[in-house]
Amino acid sequence: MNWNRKLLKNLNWYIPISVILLIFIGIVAISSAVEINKAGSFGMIYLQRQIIAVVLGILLVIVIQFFDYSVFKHYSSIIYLSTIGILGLILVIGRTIAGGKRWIEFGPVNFQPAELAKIMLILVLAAILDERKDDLKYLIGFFRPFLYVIVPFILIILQNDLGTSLVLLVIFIGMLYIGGGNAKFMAIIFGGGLGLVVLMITFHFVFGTPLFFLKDYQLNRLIVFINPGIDPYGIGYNLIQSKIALGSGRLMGKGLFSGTQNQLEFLPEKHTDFIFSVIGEEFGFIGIFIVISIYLLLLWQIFNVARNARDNYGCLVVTGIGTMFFFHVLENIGMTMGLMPITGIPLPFISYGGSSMVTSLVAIGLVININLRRKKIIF
Amino acid sequence: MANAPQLQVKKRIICLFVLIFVVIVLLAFRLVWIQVVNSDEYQSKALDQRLRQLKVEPKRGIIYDRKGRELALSASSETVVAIPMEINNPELTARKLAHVLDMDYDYIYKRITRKASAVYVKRKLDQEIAERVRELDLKGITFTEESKRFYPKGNLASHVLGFAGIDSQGLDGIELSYDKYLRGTPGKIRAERDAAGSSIPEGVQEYLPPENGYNIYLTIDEVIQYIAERELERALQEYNISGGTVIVMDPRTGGILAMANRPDYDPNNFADYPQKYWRNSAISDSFEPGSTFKIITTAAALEEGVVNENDVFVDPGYIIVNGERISCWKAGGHGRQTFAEVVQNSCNPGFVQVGMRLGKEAFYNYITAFAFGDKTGIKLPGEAKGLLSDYDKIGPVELATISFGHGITVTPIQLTTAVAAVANDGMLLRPRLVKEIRSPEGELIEEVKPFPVRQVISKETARRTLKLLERVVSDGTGVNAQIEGYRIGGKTGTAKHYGAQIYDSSFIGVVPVNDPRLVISVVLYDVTGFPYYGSQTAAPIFRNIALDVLRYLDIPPQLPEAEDKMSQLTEVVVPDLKEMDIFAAEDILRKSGLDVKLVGMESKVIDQVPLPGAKVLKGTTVLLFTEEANQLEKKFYVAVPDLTGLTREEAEDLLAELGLILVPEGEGKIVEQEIEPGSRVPGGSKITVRLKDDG
Repeated sequence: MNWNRKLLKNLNWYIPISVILLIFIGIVAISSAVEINKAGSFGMIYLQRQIIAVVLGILLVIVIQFFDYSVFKHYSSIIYLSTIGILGLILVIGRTIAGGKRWIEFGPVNFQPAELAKIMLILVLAAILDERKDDLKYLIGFFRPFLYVIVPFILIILQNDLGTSLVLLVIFIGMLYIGGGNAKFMAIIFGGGLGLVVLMITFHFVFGTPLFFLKDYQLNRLIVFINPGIDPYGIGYNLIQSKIALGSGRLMGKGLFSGTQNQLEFLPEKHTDFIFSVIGEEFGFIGIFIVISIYLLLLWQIFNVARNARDNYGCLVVTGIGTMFFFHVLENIGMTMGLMPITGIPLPFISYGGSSMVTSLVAIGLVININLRRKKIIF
Repeated sequence: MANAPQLQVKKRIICLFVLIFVVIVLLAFRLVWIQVVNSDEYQSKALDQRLRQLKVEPKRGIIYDRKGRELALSASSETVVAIPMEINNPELTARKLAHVLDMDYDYIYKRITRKASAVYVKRKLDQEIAERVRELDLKGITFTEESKRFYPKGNLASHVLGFAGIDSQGLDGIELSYDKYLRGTPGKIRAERDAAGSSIPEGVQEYLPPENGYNIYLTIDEVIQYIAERELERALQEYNISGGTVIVMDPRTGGILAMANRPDYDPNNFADYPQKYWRNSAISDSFEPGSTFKIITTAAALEEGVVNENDVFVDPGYIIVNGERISCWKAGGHGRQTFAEVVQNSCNPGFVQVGMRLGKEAFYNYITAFAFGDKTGIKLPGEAKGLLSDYDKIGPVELATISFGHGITVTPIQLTTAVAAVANDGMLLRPRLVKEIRSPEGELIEEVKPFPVRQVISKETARRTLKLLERVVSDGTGVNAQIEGYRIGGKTGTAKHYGAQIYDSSFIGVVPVNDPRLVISVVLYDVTGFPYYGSQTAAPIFRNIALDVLRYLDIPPQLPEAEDKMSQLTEVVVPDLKEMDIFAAEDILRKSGLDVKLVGMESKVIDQVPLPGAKVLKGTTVLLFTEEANQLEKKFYVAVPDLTGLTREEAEDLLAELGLILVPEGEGKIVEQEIEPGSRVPGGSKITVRLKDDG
């Protein structure tokens, strides 16, 4: 236990306040998305579960504050190994939902370990990058952290969760950059890698060369991303309905519980992946502008915490978390308007989903922890 | 604190955040694009998919005749509509429907499984079948009311009315040209549905009632139309014709009281008729008017003052124009005659001279002023302009032929309109078919008033022209158009198709001449076989129509019974003219009211037909032969016409025209003739016929 009441003076209030605002907006949006306004709706169950997840998450945020975050650095090998273990285990005993083997059942509670794996990996990566900081000036120095990332990356891909594995990759890039990775090499490797993938996909479409790393449904999402009108009642349905929801919300929105795309169930996955479209439809561009502004504020403050962190490890952890949130926001919002391919990545603090909510709050707990223990602390 | 983040790390954090900031701002821009700039498009898409919209057809306006009798109306009938998303078992549904509707299973199955919110299965079906479909009580199969066009009078006025298609869209006739009035504005039922396609009880239910179409009152009079069609039908039975047109117009307003054509069709089942039957010949087909066009020449010449009624013309039977010989319809010509007689006799060389006096420029101006070569502006689809040569292409020969109605084609409506202008004191009116347009509530939307186009000739000229036309009917080629007690002016016309024994025969008449109320034109197309002259075919049709219409319209006779022209049609005895000088003989004949036709080139009469002492009607042509019979025989052979069915008088007239002599036996109608029709006999031959009274 490492707690001092004075630490609270360091608290950057913007962070908890913006998170609470987002959670509140999320609960309002979910209640409309699950149609609690309708008689005989089972929506309340979703709402209860979400609130339970929030409470649990907030408890964890508080608990986390009693430890100095250096403890995570200390136990990073144990954290890493247990993460790999859980991800491996899930492939054996996991439950399949919607084509992805991602869930572990604990009695009545389903949990998605891949969500937590992101945080754990951030902690581990931060430790490794901090340790071998000077090596990162050379190409060879990329190798060790890359090895640490590639194992969970593959395990998550095996769960058919391409989205989350992409998040891992982006976190890795963000942390590598902040950790002092040689920018030139990074540009060559990741730029080249992206180029290669694009080239392979292009070859697949043009010449029919096989794509070993994408399943059919993932490929379909790419096809729709390129040409949304191709199958409006089939693979293109989600995107079209989402765009209609956003566009028909216009500047002011249709009002809570009045979004027709939402309430008449044209919009798929509306309480989880497409919650942003519900907000866009019912609260219009104004509502969305507020949400995006809060995210921007939160990210700004997170990166402030990173800048003012006590040590390089804390800085890296917060950077990783910031990058993770950013990518979640970019991917989720981007997919609702056709700027990104559709994946199952939730919108942090807003989408319905206990694993995501708890994970996000734990991440915020870590950010706050590092914020409280920044260097200009006066005892 | 040695491990605190270094300056480079802090810079990189700022770099990273700036990148994040830029990306999120780009996202926001994209949102502005979707939610603000293009939001209209998405809003309508959202509406489209959640509101299932059913069109409610307006009731098409009714078409009435001028007295408010229904000629076309709309009755509602039921249409079967399928809502594919609500159909659970399309195979079974399709099978049941196919059975009841007597339709192809595959067709129905394909329709009801279409990815659409609603599809028609079968439109406008009988009430009884609709009831049977209703009894099936199939999920996802509903009904909507559509209106079906119904023409209660069948074929009557079919070419005027036209017809409307299955979507209540006007396709021809008034139905087409007044479609925007008749059609109305569709209403809508909009019901909100969710993504699964089920309707939402508390969802938006919007009903926008349709605005029914306006009702149209035509100038057509159902009774007059019927009379016209009846007579045309009779003509079709009686003569060898391919078709015909009758137009009855009120010259004072330009209103068309009847417009009938044969062949015709039933607009209720228009698709069952060949498309050419839909053709409104009255406005779409042009023909060579022949002598009826002389009315125009006469009016123009009188107006220009180049002739007056008493000017004397000499017709030797032909006239040479620019080296071309133009013959009179009457072999040997009409000899000396006044202009009034030129009109009366419909003498071609006479008219050629009149045309030459008029000159090309003036004549052409009158032709175009009478609106030939242009559309009359009657509001019907498919109006033709007729064929009027360009001004520059008219040489002396063309001028000559146009003077008597050849080398120009006109539509029946053009001719009727032009003659109506003469009957209307020279003022050309645009022909009209619609009197007024009213809303379904009876409110007057538009009144179509007579539309004066231009004063073509003076009132005085118009009156003088009518007087000349009256003489045509009272004493000339138009005698068959006479009606006891009425002053009728008119003109016959017969034009031979080029290079074939096919004729277009016509008669156009004005009644009463002193105060014209009716202009009736009768055109018979492709007359083959005898009789083909307008005077013998079209004129009697005119007479029958005019007789009934005058009676129907209560137009009183102008002449007291004593002065009745018919009773004045006295018989005269043909004088003996043998050995006389041809001029003296002609003089005598004209004085006793007989017409003259000279045969041969000598100056002394050696024989005559009819023979002296024969009793003939006034106006009958007497043939005077000036050459030896054997010489004549060589050049004067005629084909014997079919006389059966004719009365003695008719046969006499006809044979006289041909220079043959009738020898009647018995009373009544001719049932048998001694010399077979078609055999060629020398001029002057006697044709013995047997008559029988058929009571």
